[in-house]
Amino acid sequence: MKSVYFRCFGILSFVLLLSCSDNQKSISVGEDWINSEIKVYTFDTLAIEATTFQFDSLIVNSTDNLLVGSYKDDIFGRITASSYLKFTGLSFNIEDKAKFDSISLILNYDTYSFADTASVQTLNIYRLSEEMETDENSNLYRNSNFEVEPSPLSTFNYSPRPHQNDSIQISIAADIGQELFDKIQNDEISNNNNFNDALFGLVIVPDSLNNSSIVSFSKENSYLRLYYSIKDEIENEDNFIDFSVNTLGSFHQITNNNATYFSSIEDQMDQIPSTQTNNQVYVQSGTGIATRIDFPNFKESLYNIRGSGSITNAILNFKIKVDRNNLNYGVKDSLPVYIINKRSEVQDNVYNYLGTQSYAQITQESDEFNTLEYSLSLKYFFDNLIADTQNDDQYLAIYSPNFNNSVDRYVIYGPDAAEDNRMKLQITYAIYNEDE
Amino acid sequence: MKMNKLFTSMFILIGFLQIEAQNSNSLSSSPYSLYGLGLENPLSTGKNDGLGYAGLAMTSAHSLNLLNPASLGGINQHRLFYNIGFKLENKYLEQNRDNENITSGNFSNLALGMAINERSGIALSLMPKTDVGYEVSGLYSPIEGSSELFETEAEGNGGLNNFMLSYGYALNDKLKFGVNASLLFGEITETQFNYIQSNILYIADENDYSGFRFGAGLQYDLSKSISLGFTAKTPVSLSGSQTRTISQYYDNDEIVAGIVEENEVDNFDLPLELGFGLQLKLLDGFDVLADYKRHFWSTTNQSDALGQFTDQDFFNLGFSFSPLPNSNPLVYANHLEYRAGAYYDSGNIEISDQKISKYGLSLGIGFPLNKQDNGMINLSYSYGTQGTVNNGLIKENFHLLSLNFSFEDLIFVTRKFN
Repeated sequence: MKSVYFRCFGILSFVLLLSCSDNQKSISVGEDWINSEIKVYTFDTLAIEATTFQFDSLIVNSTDNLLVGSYKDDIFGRITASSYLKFTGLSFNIEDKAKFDSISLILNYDTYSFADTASVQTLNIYRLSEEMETDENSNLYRNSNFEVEPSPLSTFNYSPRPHQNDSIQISIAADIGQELFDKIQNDEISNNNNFNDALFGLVIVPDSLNNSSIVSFSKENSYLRLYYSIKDEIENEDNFIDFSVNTLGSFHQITNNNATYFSSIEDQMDQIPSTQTNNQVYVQSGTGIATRIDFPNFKESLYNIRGSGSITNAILNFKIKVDRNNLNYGVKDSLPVYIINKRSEVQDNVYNYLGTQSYAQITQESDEFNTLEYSLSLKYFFDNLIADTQNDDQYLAIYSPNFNNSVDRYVIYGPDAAEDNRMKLQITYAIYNEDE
Repeated sequence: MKMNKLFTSMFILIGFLQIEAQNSNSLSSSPYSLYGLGLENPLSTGKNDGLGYAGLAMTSAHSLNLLNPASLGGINQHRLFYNIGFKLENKYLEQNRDNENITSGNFSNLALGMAINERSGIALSLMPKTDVGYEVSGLYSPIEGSSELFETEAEGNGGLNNFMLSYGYALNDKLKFGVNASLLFGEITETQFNYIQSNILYIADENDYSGFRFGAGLQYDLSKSISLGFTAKTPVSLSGSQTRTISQYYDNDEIVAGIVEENEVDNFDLPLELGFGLQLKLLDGFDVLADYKRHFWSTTNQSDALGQFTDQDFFNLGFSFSPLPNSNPLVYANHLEYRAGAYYDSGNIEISDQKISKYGLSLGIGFPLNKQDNGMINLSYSYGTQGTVNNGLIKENFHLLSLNFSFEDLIFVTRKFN
C-alpha cells in the first residue's frame, strides 16, 4: 500500500514538473484573427502660433570671447559688436633705468567668425572715460553702455584671418603708454586698483559702413602690452609687461539698427506674429532675438477627439532658410528649446523621457530648396502639459546654442508658410476606447 | 492508513498548487481560445476520458462519475473516492501555409466524492472549465494619416474554473436522481503590446467572470444490462468586470504613464444544456456507453469578433472491456480495464459559415492500485482534430494524454479488529 502511494507521488511530481516547465512560444497561425484594440492616427493639423520676441537683458560678460565687427543683414539690419575691455596685471615693477617704447593691444583669435571676413575692416580704439560698473549680480548686458573719450586712440585696418593667424596686434597712441609707464615706474600704480583707476578700459568700436564681418577673440591670451627697453653699456635689452583682458569685467555690446521687423520691439513682452513677418520667425544670437511657439487650444483639441486615448508621439518639425550666398552664416546641428511664460521668462528646459534636455535637431537637408529641417520631440512636454491642470502659461522658446557669444541667426518658416515649408506639429495619437 | 491520509492531503495540496498555476499560466495554445471564454475542457474524472468522454448513464459505484450527479446515488456505502487528474497535450496547428507545433500541460481535475448513506452520495470537485491561451505577434495595422504601420503583439491566458457540489440519491434500485450547483469563476487576461514608432503602448485587460449554475440528472436502469441517463444544466449569465491598465513605454524602457480603468464588460451567457446517455452491459465485462448532448447557444444571441454562436451537438461513444473478470485473480493483467471511444463536437462558433467542429478517438487503460478496492490509475490517450484549413481557418491536430488518479477509501467504519 505504502509503496503504491510513493510511486503515485513520484508520477505526480513528474507531471507537475512537466506542466510547469511548459514554455509557450508565440504562434503565427491565427494572427489574422486578432484585431489590434487600438486605432492610431497621425496628424499635423493642430494650431501653432509662432512669434518673434527679444530678450531684454542678455548677460554677455560671462562668455569666454569678445565679438568685434559689423555686418549688414537683409533682415536683422546692421549688426555691430563693440568690445569693452578691462585689464588686469600680474606685476607692476619696471626698473628705474628702463625706457618706454610702445603700447599695443594683442587680440587672440577665437575660431568663430561670421559673415564675410574677406573684406577689410576698420577698428577704432577708444579710451573709456568712466568706470564700467556691473549690476548687483556682477552682470553686464549686451546693451550696457559706458562713456568714451571723444577721439580714438588709434584706428586699425585689417582683413580678419581667424583660421590662418593666431592674433592681431593693434598699436595704440604712445602717449597713453607713456602715461601708464611713468605711473608704474614711479610706483603710482602698484596694484590693479591703481591701474584700473588710471585706465578704466578700452573700447574697440568697428567702423559700420562696410558690409563686413564679425570676428570673435578669446579673452584668454589677449593683452594690453607695454614695450620698454633697458639701456645697458653694451646693448639694449628689450622687455615688455602684459595686462591681460579681465574675463568678467569685459564684454561685447551688440546692437541691431534698421532691422526690418524688430524696430517696433520695446520690451521682451512684445511679440511679433509670423504673419506680420513674411510668415517667418527669427532667432539671433547676441541680440536676444528668439522664436516663441504657442499651441493654442492644444488641450481642447485633444479632448475633442472622440474616444479615450493618448499621445504616443509628438514632434515639432520646422524648416530654416539656408542662405547659400553666405555660407558663413552659422547654422548649428541642434538648437536648444526652453519653456517660457507669457512674460518670456525662462522657466525650464524642454526634456525628453531620458531626463536629458531635448534639442531640435537637423533631420533633413534639402539642397534644392535651400532648407534644413529640424525636429524636436515634445512628447514629454505635452504629457506634462496635459497632466498639469494648473499651469497653462507655457510656451516654447527656440534659441541658438551660442546665444550670448555669437551672432548666429536663423530664419524659420512659420506655421502659415507654404505647405512644404510650414512649421508642423506631428501628433501620433492612439485611441483605445472609441465609445467614450 | 495514517500514511494513506498523509498522501491524500499532499495530493490535494498539489492539486491546489496546480490551480494556482492554471490561473497564471494556463495555455491551451489554441487560437480558437480567442472566442467566447476560451476552449472547453473535455476532460473529466475517473474513467470517462478513455471512453470518448461518454458516461451520462454510468454509475459512480466503481469510480467517481461527475458527468451526471444522479450517479452519486450509486456510491457504495462507506466508500470515499478522491481524484486528481493531469493532462498533457501536443497540438499541430495549420493555417494556409503556416504551421506550428505546441505542447502544453496542466492539471485537469481535483475531486472528492463519498457516500452519505446507503442511498445517497455527495461530491465536491474543482475542474478547469475553459482555457484561454494564445500569443500572437507580427500583427500590423496602419497608422492612419501616414503610410506607416504599427505592430501588435497580443496574448491571452486564464480561463474559467468550475467548483461544483453534486448530490445524488437513489429513489429505488432502478431510479437515481441528482442535482449539482456550480460556482463558475475565473480571470481571463488579455494583453497587447503596440509598437508605435519609438513608443510602446501596452494595454492589459483583466476580465473577471463569475456566476452560479445549477444542474440536475436522472439515471434509470431499464434492466440489468441497460441503463439510461439524462442531464440538464440551466442557462446562466456570467457577470463580468474588467480592470484595464494602459501604460506607455518610451524608447523601449521608460514607463511613461499608467492609466487604470475599471470597466463593465458584457455578461457572458452560457446556454441551456441537455444530455441523454445510454449504457449497455452486453457481455460480462464488456460495456458500451453512448451519449448525446446539445447546448442551445443560439438562444444566447451572442456573437464574437469574427463569428456567431450556434447550437452545439456532442456525440460520445465508449467501450469498456475487462478481459477476464473471473480468471485467476493472482495475475495482475487480468484486472486491467481497456477502454476505447470516439467523439464528435459540432462546435459552438460559426466563422465564415463554417462550424469549428472537433472529433477524435480515444484509448484508455485502467491500472488497479490494489485488490481490496476500486482504486485505479486511468491513463487515456486521444487523437483528434479541430477546425479546418478551408476558408482561411485553422486546423488543429492534437494528441491529448490524460492521467487520472482515482483512490478509494473506507470511511465511517468502526474497526472490529486491530
